Amino acid sequence: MNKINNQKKVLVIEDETALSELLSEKFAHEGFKVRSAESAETGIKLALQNHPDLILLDLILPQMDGLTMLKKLRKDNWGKGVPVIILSNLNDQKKVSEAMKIGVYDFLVKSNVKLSDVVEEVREVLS
Amino acid sequence: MLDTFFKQFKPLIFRRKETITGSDNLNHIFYLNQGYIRLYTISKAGAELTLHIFSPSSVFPILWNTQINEYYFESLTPVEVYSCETSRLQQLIKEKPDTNTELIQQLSFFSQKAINKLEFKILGDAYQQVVATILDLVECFGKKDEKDTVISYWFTHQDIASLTGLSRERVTIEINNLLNKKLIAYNSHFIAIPNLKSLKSELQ
Repeated sequence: MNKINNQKKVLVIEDETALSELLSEKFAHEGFKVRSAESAETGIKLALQNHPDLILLDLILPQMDGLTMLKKLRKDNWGKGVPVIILSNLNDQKKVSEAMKIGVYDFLVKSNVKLSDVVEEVREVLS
Repeated sequence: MLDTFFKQFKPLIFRRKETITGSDNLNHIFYLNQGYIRLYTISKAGAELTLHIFSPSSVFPILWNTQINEYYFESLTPVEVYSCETSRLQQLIKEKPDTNTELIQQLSFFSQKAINKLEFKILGDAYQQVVATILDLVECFGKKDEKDTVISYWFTHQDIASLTGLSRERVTIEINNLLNKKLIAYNSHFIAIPNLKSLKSELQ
């Protein structure tokens, strides 16, 4: 029971189903409690309801994009402090630069990163 | 003037904890547009000493005319930098000598901070080193909210250990001392300082 209560909560907001499932499975396997959303609208709703300890956020999402969601999140009293790691592509440099201005813990380039590195980084910030 | 000059070049972004360059890359100079970078050195025994934290608008390496290659630059946060060959900046200084004023101001600030850091490293105990580091972070990341000054980035005990050169365990002990004395608190994942004056007085 105690272990469950101490589980850190991670929210994955990613519209590529394969990657989202991969991340969710990896984090669940590593002992995190994972929720996932395939759109920014669902993502922000889940975030504000469940108060995850950390959010992994894709920049390119259908309808509302990741940057717009991040701006909305940072306006919330709880959301202003939650660490967010951006999931980006190689050619997203301008968007990552914008995200830095809004406030992010770090960014990952999807094609360059190992799942174990993502888990390690999340563990570090949540330690 | 420096801002306009550097922004003609292509920006580069780095994740946190990436090495930006060593001073072996002497033919390039960088301008920090977003984020924070630490300058550190490593002793023969492997201990790290952070000498300075560069804030946005800083030019680095600050000692770009020397052949010293014992210093490293690592991003504390995600960063955006602009870079050019040192000769381009030297040319700018020749054409617009006022540029030197900006660089000298940066060099003075850098020297002052490095001296302060060495003072606490040599004379201070672990507690004072942690306090001095938190005050450094306040200078870079401090934002005033309704009642506290908040360090608006997610620094872990391990991060503070890297900045001070202390072990993570020692930092945790000193952070707990500060929490027990109510000199710091945690506010929405961030370190918050209720009374800066009280925290500063711990260095006296």
